[in-house]
Amino acid sequence: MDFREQQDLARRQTRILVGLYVLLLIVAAAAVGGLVWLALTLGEQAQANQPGAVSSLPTDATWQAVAWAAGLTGGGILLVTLFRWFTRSDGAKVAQSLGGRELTGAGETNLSPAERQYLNVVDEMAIAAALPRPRVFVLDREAGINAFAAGTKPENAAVAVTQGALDNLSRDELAGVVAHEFGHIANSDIKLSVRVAAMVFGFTFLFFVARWWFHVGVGPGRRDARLRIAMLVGAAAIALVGLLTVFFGRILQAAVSRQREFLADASAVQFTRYPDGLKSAFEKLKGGASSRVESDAAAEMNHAFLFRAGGARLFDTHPPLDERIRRLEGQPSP
Amino acid sequence: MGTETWIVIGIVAIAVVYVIHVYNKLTSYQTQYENGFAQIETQLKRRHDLIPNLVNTAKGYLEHEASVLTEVTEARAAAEKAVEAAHDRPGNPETMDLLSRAESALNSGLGRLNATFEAYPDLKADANMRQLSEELATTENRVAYARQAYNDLVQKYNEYRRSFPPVMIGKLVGHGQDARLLEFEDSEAIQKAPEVSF
Repeated sequence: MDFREQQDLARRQTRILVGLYVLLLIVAAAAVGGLVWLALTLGEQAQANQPGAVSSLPTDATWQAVAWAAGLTGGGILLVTLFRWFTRSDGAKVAQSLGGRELTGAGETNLSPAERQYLNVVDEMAIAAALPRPRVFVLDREAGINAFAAGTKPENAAVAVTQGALDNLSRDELAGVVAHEFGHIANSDIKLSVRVAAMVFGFTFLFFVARWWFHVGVGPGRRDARLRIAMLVGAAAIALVGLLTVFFGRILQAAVSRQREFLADASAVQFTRYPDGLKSAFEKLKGGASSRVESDAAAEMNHAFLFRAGGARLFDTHPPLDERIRRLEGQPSP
Repeated sequence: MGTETWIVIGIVAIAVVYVIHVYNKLTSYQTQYENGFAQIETQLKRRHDLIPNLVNTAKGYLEHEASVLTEVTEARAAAEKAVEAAHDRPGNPETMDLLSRAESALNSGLGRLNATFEAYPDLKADANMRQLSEELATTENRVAYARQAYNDLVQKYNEYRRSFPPVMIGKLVGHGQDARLLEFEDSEAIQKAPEVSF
């Protein structure tokens, strides 16, 4: 398997996704702008219908308001996306936000044997993958078996495993799991998934816009009933657009993530030349061990984990275990 | 000068540029596998450094089996020399084979030592010993992965060197010989505990 090729694929997929994102951004901004126009026009009509009305909004001002609304919406989505992208780019920060405790390996004499072994396994994989050693974290409070990699490039990457993984996995199994995470780093998966996650997250800004409209709609003020209703309908429409983008975004995110999981499994085998370790970890999980991660921040980072951290089936970021085991055994899927 | 002369000069110039290109590429691949070897060397040294510790810890428990300890100590000394020899000439068939033999001997000595430990549950439970065996296990893996990387790089060099036309040019510019892979005899089989299949 060629990592260069996989990195190129990730880059191409990213470009398509960015295109899609820009398109959706324009659609969302235009939709909000259109709604503002509608509300203003209705408001004007209502005012014009009132007896003795003199002043009405000149058309220029209407268009200006529409442009402002569209610009603010688009800009808001973009800002939220960028904010998320930057805060999620640094692997160590992500690991810390999930409750990770860092192991540096240097000068730490109070490491448990399991932690020592984990650090050793990470060092081994860094040699096998010919990558710099990422920062290493343990999620102390998590009893489920899981692991993740974060960071957008090898230089700011971090790997983390749960305490449950340290307690329940054998050395070979842990090596398979860590190798899988190195696969994500080598294939530029984290960059892709963080980008997708940030884009999807950006559209949650629409909910914020919708809430504001709702408050304006029901709030105090001398307003025509028709205008109020129009505002509420508008708020609902914006929320709906937001809901749809986030909904389809999550499905898309899950689909991309599932493919990259298979790829990371394959990379793990390439690094260790020993598929049984990872396979046996999968089987342990199939045998009823939990992969649940309790941290609140986990839901949004689901795609980064080795196994499902929780969440609904439709948004599943991970392929079924049976399928993953089958591929590790080198059998074609049925 | 006539057109023919210019054509000849042109062809010679192209040939020279091509030879330089091949030479640079061969040298670059050589540097890559030499760096790969440096990584193995680091890990082998790490391993050699662990062995006196291991022997000292084991000594207290294995009074009646000094022979296996001596064997390991001697194999370690030989392996250290072999690493030094290989350091100066990585990829050279003689030094690589010497290193391969020395490390294989050390492996089998360690394997026998490990087998001896089985009879001493106290020793296996010793905290110091457990940490040492984890260190040995990780070093073993690091050596294996570094060796994988080195062998991949050697293969890349050899494949390019043997292709045509580099195979013609290589001989002229000091790249006339394949680099040697580093293989250890059944190092996996010795270190791995017997697997129970179910």
